[in-house]
Amino acid sequence: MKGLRKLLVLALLVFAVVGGTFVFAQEDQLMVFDWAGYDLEGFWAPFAEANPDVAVEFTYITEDSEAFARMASGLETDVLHPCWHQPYIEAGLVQPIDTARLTNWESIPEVLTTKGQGEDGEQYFVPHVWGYSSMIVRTDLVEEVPDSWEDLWDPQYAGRIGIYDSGEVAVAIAATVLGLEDPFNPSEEEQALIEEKLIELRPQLLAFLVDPAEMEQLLISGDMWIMAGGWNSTFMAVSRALAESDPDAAVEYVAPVEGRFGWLCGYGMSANAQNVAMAYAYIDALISPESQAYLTNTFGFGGANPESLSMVDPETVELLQLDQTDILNDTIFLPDVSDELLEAYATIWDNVKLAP
Amino acid sequence: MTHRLRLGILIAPPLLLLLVAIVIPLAGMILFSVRADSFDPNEGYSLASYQEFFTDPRYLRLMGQTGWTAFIVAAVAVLLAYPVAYFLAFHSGRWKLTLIALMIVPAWTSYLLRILSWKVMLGSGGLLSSLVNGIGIDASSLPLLLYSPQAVVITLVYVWIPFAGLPIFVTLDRLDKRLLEAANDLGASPLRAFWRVTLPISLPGVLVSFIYVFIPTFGDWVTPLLVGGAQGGILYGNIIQSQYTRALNWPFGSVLSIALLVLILVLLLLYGRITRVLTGENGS
Repeated sequence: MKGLRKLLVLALLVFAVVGGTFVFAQEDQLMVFDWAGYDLEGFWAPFAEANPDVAVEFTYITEDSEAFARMASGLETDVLHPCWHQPYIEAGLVQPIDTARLTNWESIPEVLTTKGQGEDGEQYFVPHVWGYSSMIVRTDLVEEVPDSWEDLWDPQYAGRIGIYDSGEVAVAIAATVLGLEDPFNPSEEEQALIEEKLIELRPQLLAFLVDPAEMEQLLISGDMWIMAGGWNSTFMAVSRALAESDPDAAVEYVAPVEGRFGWLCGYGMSANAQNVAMAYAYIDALISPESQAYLTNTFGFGGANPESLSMVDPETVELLQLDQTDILNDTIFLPDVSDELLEAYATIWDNVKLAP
Repeated sequence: MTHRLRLGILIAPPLLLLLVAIVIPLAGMILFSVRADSFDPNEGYSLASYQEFFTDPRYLRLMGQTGWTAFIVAAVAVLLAYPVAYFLAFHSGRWKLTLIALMIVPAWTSYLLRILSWKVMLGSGGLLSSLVNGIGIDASSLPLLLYSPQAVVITLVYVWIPFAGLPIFVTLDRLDKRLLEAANDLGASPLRAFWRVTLPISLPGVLVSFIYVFIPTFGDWVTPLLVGGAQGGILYGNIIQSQYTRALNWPFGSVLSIALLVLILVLLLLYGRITRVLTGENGS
């Protein structure tokens, strides 16, 4: 009996110590909901230096509608990095940001900051990164280099096209090819046309892809000739890898004649963030010139903070035209999707996959 | 009383686990299937999701197609596993345990890793295409193996063979060897003895194997997602996943899940009936 009591006391002690460290550890933890790749420490090095005791825990985004679904169903995080903004603001999933608490805020141009504002005039998202969704083509493998989104339907590429597994991007491509008046606000009739057009595309496709590593690997191996909706980062990674491994291979980041799509992602703070002070420090670090230069040099994306441009590789800037001030004019930025369209796009994309 | 108390303490944790991990989620799923909205309970209840499932032929078609895929996978896995189990039961001698361990070893590796390793083997520049190149055929002229319905079947068969082999092995190992001696004494050829004695006795094991493979394959979505590509990558489970995570249509996702559950329950009942008939006929 005495032995049992001793054992109980010991168990309680162990429990208290373990539990205590757990609770203590939680105080110094920042949860970040972000795309794979942004977990590289180069991005948040300034934050890590200033806060060496804080453990940054990442949960990964694979696609925007999925990210929104996870947040809406109660994912716990402090900071999030989606490329949709208004749906989060409307659903009350993010809190207003006091921009005075961000030392790098003043450097970000207004043309970008307005995109993170709610209808109430508050700032909810801090612009961080922009890039293209365009065509990455293995020009050595195709007979003719495609120069229009319409070429995706050309039988000569049958079975060799990969597409970003996102209803939003697929719909944008089809709507552009169909020449809709307002490709980002299709009527129900037009939605039916888009669906039909995308079902026609299905036999052309090799795979629906979300994993950047898989996109890169398929382009490098040559199994995939065209990545539709491919990002700057994928193009950079593939051209670097091919330059090393296969001097005969060639890859090009093609801008279709209709224009390439563009996107802008920003950092927001969850409405029920546990660690608001750390979240401010983290976001501030990510829009610092050092972090933004790392972003461009590593992934070839454009940073929201132009002060980083002096620190980046000029070849990358020129190749991707990241320094052009009129970039907004010749890039078709994907606008935020309304609630109804969000559902419609998901349905269209599902129907394309369900088609026999 | 103390005996009861002790029993209660022993049973409580598994009961609690069953309640928390199975009963409550199932009840939640059924509740969600009749909700009108994924997140707002004030929207009330409706049977619209059920109606959509039964009136839209695409879902039933996909269910049928997935069932057919699962059937092929289970049949091939059982056919391939049977000879292995037979050898283990009758001819492995003192190596029996070692060989069984070898058969199961792949199952110790993570499920995902095993699928991903098939990506490497089936991909161009992978093991299979180097093999084809090695015998003098230009692999790049052949159609891609990876990202096809065939790739899904091959990968699933590989993943499930160890699980298909075990139940067959167990029934064969338990088989009374004197029956085979009797068959021999009565002049039956080994083939005839197999056909009339061994196979009928092992059929319940074969059925268990089949079910073991068929059920998880029916609901699988990871394998098609990873190796199926655009042409073979959409099975029933993928649509369930997409309803929950993308379309945000939890009611419809729940209906799809319940339909799968009901179908499998019916198949299990059918299986119970068949086994009873089989074992009854064998008179054991």
